[in-house]
Amino acid sequence: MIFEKLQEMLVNQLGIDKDKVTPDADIIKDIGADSLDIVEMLMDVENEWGITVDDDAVKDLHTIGDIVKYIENNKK
Amino acid sequence: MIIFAKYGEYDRRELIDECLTRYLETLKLTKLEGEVKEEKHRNEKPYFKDYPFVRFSVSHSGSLVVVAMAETEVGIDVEEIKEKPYGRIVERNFTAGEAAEVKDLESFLKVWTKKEAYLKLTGDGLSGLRSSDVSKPLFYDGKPVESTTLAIFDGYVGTVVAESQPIIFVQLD
Repeated sequence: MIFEKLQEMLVNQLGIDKDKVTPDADIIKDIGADSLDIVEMLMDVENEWGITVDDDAVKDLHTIGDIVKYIENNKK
Repeated sequence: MIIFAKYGEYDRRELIDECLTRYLETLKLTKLEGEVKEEKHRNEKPYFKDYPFVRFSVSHSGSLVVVAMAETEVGIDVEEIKEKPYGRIVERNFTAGEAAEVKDLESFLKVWTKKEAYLKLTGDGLSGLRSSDVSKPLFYDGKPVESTTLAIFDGYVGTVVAESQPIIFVQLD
């Protein structure tokens, strides 16, 4: 459910193919997100799931799967 | 410093290989023409080496990718000029000094790319977003670094941050 929702957000916000958004997809290298896309996406994630993405945590978020796991671990 | 730019699809490995090759070729040319002085006294490594100490930074947005290569640490960021609600980004991530420089989309992107470029130079990346302040003089490794706005790519805004040095632009096919 989290993955599908995140996928939908990326398709709508970044306008990328749904097929490109897989759990192993690297946000920068495979999905082609630039720095602004990433910050906007993280802000949307924070709003959607009511969480805060720590500045430190950002370093470890490379793939879609990493983000899904982060949301799972931090949402209320 | 050489900044390479390419429009369209690219393979990251191939791109970086091409840039490195061209960068080294360019350096060899200047060496042969004798325009570069030996700067041995400035650092421990002699300036003329077979394989110079190369630093680089990559950024892409939209259909543009840029690679900056230099012998000093360097950070570069480009953003496509596209309407977006930047207010909330400023509110959540910019310092008061930075926010004061934002008047419209283009000035927002100038500050944004300057922030990003500096964070890429230091290696902090996005995790340093809120703790950095590019409205003040910037330093890295104890030395001042300069930011240069890149306004030569139509439809894009960019910034490169590094120690003061000449910049050469090369567009790749």
